[in-house]
Parts: sequence; structure tokens; C-alpha cells
Amino acid sequence: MVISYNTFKYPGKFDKTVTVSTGEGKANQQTIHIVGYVEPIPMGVMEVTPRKTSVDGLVNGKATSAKIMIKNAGDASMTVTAIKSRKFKTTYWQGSLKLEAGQTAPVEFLVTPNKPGRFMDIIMVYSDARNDIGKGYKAVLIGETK
Amino acid sequence: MFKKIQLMALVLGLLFASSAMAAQPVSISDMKVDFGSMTEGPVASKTVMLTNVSKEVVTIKNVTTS
Repeated sequence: MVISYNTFKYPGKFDKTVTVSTGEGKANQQTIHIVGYVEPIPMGVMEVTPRKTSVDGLVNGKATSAKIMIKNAGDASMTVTAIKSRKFKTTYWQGSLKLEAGQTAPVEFLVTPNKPGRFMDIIMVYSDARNDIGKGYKAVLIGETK
Repeated sequence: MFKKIQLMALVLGLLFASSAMAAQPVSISDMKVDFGSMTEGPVASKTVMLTNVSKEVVTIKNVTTS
């Protein structure tokens, strides 16, 4: 039996178990401990500042520009690839934005509110940063829709 | 007398332990796998040998990780 451990984006000490079952109950189980240490490599780290971004001038049914500031707080470059809306299940932005370590850049995209009043959307920012393990980095858009 | 009881308890303990070990139909070559120190990036792999030590066919029903 081959036991594999994915080291990418999982730096540090690890202590995991693999349980092999030949039947029901604990009496038919054997547990293998796997231990080790993963030396981290330089990598980008995503930050959206502020995490909760206010969008001005929202009008119901009208596409309005929103801008978020993305920072690479890591020690190597990172590439931002997409910004998706959780609320509207759409992709706000798609591309390839490379940020060097320590660099901050704005990303603009269009949002279209679908009802007047309080606006809130959770956006997922996708990149190859250490703190994105394929699920994106969460940030929030807020505003008031007329 | 006390030493006799201690000895009996030890023998019983050993018997119980050996019977419990014998109850497992599969023997695993390494119960602790040390990957050592690795550099982040690739998928690391280690092989352990599973041996059927019973007299019957054994099915591995499930393998889970945590």
C-alpha cells in the first residue's frame, strides 16, 4: 500500500493517521501513524485590504464599478486569476495579475445589484497564494443600492 | 503469594495481548511511517507492506486518513 502526502501548501510538522479496516468496529482496524516535516518554500500570500470593501453609487439593475486592493504579503510573487461572486454565482473578473512580494494592486470589476437597499456580496479571490488551497480567499463587498 | 498473583497477572496479560494481536488477519510492515524532512512541493510517497497472516481470504474494506 502506497501512502502519499501532498506537501504543496502544507508546510510545517505533520502527524496524521491512516486507518486500515478489514471489517466492522475498532477490533478490525489498524492505525498507521505518518509523521514528518515540510520545509516551506517562498510563496505569495493573499491579502485584500480592507477585507470589507465599500462600493459606492450602487443602483438597482445597473452595472457599477467596484474596486478592491489586493496585496501580496508573502515572500515570492503570486498570480491572481479570478474573482467570483458567491451571491450571484458569477465571475466578476478573470485574468492573470502578477504581484511581486510586497506589491499591492487594485482590481476593478462590475457588480449589478438586483434589489434596492443593503447590498452585500461575498467574493472569492483565486490565486496561487499560500493561503488559497483552491477555494479562494474570502472578502466582502458592501454598499447601499438605490 | 503476592508474587504468584503478580506472575499470573503477567502471564494472563501476555496471553491476552498475543491473542489480541493474532486476531488481526493483516500484518502491516510499519505502524509508524516517518517521511523525514522534505521541501514543500512534490507529493511524497512511502510504501508499507500488508500481509495476510490468516488462513482465509482477507478483504481490506476501507482505508481512511485523518
